[in-house]
Amino acid sequence: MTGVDLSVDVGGVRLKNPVLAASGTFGYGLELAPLVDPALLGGFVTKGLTLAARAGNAPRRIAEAPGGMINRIGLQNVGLEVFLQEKLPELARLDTAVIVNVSGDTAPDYAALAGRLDAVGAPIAGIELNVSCPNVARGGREFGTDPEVLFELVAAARSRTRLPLWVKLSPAVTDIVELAAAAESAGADAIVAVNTAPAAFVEPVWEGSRLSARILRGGLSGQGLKPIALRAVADLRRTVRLPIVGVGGIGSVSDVFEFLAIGASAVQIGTASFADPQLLGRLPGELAAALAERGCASLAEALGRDRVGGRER
Amino acid sequence: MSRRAPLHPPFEAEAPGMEHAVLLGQRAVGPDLAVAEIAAPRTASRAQPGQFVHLRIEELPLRRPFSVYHAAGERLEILYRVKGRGTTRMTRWVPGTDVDLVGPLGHGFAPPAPGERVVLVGGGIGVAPLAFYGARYPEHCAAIVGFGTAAEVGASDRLLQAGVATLVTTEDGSAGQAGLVTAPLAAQLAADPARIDRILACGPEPMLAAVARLAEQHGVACEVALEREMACGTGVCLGCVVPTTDPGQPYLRVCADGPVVPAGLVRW
Ligand SMILES: Cc1cc2nc3c(=O)[nH]c(=O)nc-3n(C[C@H](O)[C@H](O)[C@H](O)COP(=O)(O)OP(=O)(O)OC[C@H]3O[C@@H](n4cnc5c(N)ncnc54)[C@H](O)[C@@H]3O)c2cc1C
Ligand SMILES: Cc1cc2nc3c(=O)[nH]c(=O)nc-3n(C[C@H](O)[C@H](O)[C@H](O)COP(=O)(O)O)c2cc1C
Ligand code: FES
Repeated sequence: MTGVDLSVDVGGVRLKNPVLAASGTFGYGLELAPLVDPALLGGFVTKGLTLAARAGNAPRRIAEAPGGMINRIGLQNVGLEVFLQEKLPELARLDTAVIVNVSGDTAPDYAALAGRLDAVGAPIAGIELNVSCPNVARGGREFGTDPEVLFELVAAARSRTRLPLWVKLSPAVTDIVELAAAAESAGADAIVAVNTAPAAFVEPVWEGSRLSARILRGGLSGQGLKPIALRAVADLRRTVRLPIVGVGGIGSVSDVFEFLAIGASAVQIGTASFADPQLLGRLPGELAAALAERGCASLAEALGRDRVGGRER
Repeated sequence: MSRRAPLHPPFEAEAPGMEHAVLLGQRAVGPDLAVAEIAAPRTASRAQPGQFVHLRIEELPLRRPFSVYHAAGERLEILYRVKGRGTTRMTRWVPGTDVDLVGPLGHGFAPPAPGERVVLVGGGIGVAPLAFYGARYPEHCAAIVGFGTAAEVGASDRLLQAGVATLVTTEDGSAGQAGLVTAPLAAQLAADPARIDRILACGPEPMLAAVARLAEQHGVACEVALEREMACGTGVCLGCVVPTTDPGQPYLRVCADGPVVPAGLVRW
């Protein structure tokens, strides 16, 4: 290694480097150990956790899309109790920051999850709220689309935990800056941008001369999402003071620098790992090498000490 | 969903790895059917019949899964049907092309018990993993393989070379017995189900469902190799699931719990 200090603090989560695995793409951290050593990562975010186990959506769940994929997994997960009993002890052995991604049907669900995770504490380094979930109390509109609803949700979770609280936003919102501001005033410690974008995969079906369609509605991820994610991070950086974690379509060290340059303190990588499982393990070294070449002793030096990062010209 | 009972008997599946392999050559085995011959020493030496490899294909966002068709020494073969974006690109690979593969992945077919008599039932491209099983355990196996037409029968070349007694069916009757694989299988089971200890099947899902039904009717153990769209191939994305008959585990992951699973576990 080059001896460049890549460490960064993201809203109270200390990361040895700014490269994290995104929720839903790294399982519970151990499945991929033969292909990527989790200790190389700054951290990883677990698959979305709900209070009770969820079976997830009926297949089909995924399709390839230009520059990425569309998924509708539907939050299949083991539920809080099994997670705490079976997965967490294994996570404790990993030498990397573990962020637990949580989802719910109601604000009290999020609060309850935050409270339980807070009581557990280590090895949980932080909580990431996935607010791109249907709000059962409001006819299924996503929590993360209305600033007031989001404020209440984040405040409810905040009241139950001292763990660093990251709020992960959808790109499919009218004004992401307004939402991030709501999360900030409710006590969030960092903003994660972005989740997948609503998209569809369509196969035309002909029955004789009649045209119909098979359709998979889901979330777009991968390269095709990157420009949207960059725009979200750039807009957030102008107005929000919280650190930002950039996510969406990152697949190379130059992509990482794009997000860092525009104001992200750290990045998450999902879909690109499927094609290149060793990418996550390689990026920190590539980042360090690139910084060393520029004469930087640390990532903080490149980002500037006065702020978390990002200078627009 | 945590699994209560292990799906597979103790199985010597080795950890998957990434291998920077090299294409040795390709041979056409039928219309839109080809075998890619790959120098992949790590994967070839570890692969078990029924396991698969996940190939990166140029700029495509997702890897493509293929069963191991043959493995000997450093050489690995996959049998593929040219279907869409990925397989079309593969037809243009020439000797010396780098092949980025992850493997071997998933759980394969259980090895035969001493004296066990296994019938391999393959439809079309589904013959691939069965040919590998037949070549590894020829003395235990007999096969029934079905194709659309005579020109596709070449896709079972490794099975035939292995000396496994093979009955061929074609839908158009241009080679072997006319019709589907299920007809001769049903006849054999009706004649003497006790002569078959286990059925291994791979092919289109309606065929698998029919084979599973026959096996169940005659009380014969049956394992099927499934196919699903995959993203990670390693069990983390939960994209490749199929519904099960086990309420404690509503879905199983084809890539990690399969691709080979007991037929009775699948909700067809
Ligand atoms: C475990 C496993 C083993 C397989 N073994 C073989 C084999 O030995 N020989 C062979 O020819 N094919 C095999 N397949 C199917 C093979 O993966 C697809 O034919 C191939 O992915 C098609 O890619 P494409 O880009 O040409 O098609 P496209 O239609 O362009 O592919 C688009 C997307 O759909 C996926 N896809 C399309 N068809 C299938 C399918 N039948 N199963 C899974 N994903 C699919 C692709 O992977 C890709 O993500 C196997 C599939 C699985 C899951
Ligand atoms: C298969 C899959 C599953 C995902 N599951 C979750 C999840 O459970 N919770 C969540 O907040 N985001 C989830 N995501 C979104 C990713 O964490 C990430 O925000 C998104 O994929 C964009 O990053 P990428 O382009 O690098 O994949 C999932 C994405 C994929 C592809
Ligand atoms: S392909 Fe990701 S879990 Fe099977």
